[in-house]
Amino acid sequence: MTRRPLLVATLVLAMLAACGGHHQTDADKLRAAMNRTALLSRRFVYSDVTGNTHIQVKGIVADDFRYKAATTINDVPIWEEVVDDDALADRALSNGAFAVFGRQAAPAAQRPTAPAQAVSASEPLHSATVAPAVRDALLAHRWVLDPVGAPSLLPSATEHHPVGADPVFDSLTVFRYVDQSIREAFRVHKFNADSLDYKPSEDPFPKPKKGSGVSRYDFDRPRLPRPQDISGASANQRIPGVANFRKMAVYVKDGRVIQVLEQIDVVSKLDELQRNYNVKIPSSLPTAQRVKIAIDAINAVRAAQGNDVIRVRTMSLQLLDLGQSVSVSLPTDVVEGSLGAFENRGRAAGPTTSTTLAGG
Amino acid sequence: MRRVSAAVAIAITVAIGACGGSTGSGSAAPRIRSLPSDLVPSKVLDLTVAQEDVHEALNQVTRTYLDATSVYSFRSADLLQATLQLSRFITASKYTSTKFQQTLVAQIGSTSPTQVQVGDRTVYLTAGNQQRIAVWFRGRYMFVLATREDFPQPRTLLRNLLEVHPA
Repeated sequence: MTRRPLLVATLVLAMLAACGGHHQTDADKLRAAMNRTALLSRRFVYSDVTGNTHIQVKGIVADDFRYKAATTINDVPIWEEVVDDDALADRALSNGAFAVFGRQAAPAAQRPTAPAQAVSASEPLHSATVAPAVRDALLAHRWVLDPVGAPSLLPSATEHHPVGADPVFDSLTVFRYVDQSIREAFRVHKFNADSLDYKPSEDPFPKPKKGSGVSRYDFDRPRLPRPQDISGASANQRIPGVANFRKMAVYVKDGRVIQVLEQIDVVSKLDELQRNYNVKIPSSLPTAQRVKIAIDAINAVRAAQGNDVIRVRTMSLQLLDLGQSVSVSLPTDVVEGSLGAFENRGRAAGPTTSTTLAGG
Repeated sequence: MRRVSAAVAIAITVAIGACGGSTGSGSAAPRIRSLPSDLVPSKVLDLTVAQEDVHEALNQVTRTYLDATSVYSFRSADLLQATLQLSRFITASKYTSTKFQQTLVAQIGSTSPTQVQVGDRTVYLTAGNQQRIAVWFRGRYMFVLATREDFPQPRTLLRNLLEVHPA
């Protein structure tokens, strides 16, 4: 017998907390619906519109470690991806994909625009870590298989995933984004068109049809901070964040989420922003330009404070075929190598090597 | 069977208490037995599997919801890549209760567990000191898989071990 320490260090000396009754809020009900839905296989269509750029990701999720996704920008197919446990296969369908999915030198959090506008098209392929065979395969729109390159979709204390840096990651983690939005919202409540505080003129989202069995959960925005508001111990001035502009609605049917809609609506807050911060944005300017002036000013301060910038976007997620059997398999005609030159994928640094795929 | 040092901290479930517990409050366990060594294949991926001797650590447990547990190591060459602790609950525990399970999982690892679906199993993922930890339940059994952070195939290993069905 040998004596050697084991790797594992997971001592569980449990003291179960006393449990008390808990009133279930609408936010709790929504979270429960998300949890139920996340367990199901599904198809999805994710859409992210900023300015004139429309990114769409269509995908199939067999489970959390098996999925495939196809990305388009303005209806042009740019990227396909298949993940099977640790293995990742990617195929660039357009050179525009390299700008969208390439590992960014500058923090994506500082980029309010779509990534396609932020870096030159083939920049990631010039990285010294990209093997010539991988580069050639990507440029020839062939599949590249990285046997151990699958992205982690889990929350991480050390990795930051600003919205917009990786559309596939964003599309697969919408529920986490909604959960964060619940925490940031002033209130989450079930939609009620007969409520006294419901304002149809401020509602950009479709109402559930009567008798459809669909419930809608709405997110109320927190009020804009005032100039004298400071943020915690930093004593920094509190600057508006995305939650102050977010309109969000989540549609639930049979206890499962079927759609998420979000609109970062700055227009309706322009007057209040000008009042609060004593600034004047010429009303003669087109609305889009007025929004840009306001958001650019806010983002300049947010970036200086080290916070994510606000992306003025419209997002939607549709979930289809919940719980139906789907199949996800890796492509067979592949070039094997590291996909570490791409955001969240492969290993960020180190030599490019080929590895035997797990399980043969 | 390998014998591990007393410094080894295995996932010994000593859940005592209120909601989700047993009909009593934990069990003054006379002895936690070992599980058969062949519950886990001797080779998984290209890792060599061995059952570890943890009886010294188990002797220190006085109250527990387990009646049996074993730790299996997974090595490539001589390097330990992963361990699996397979534990069986006493019948009096509420091992089928999601609340009971989640309370146990919450005490493993250093991060809040994230629930994922892998095949037909719900798996809880968390992290330890330079380790990835996955926890799942099957009948009376709880599985705690810890893999070295730089082990390149943690998901593939996990999916393979989800096929382990103790009788």
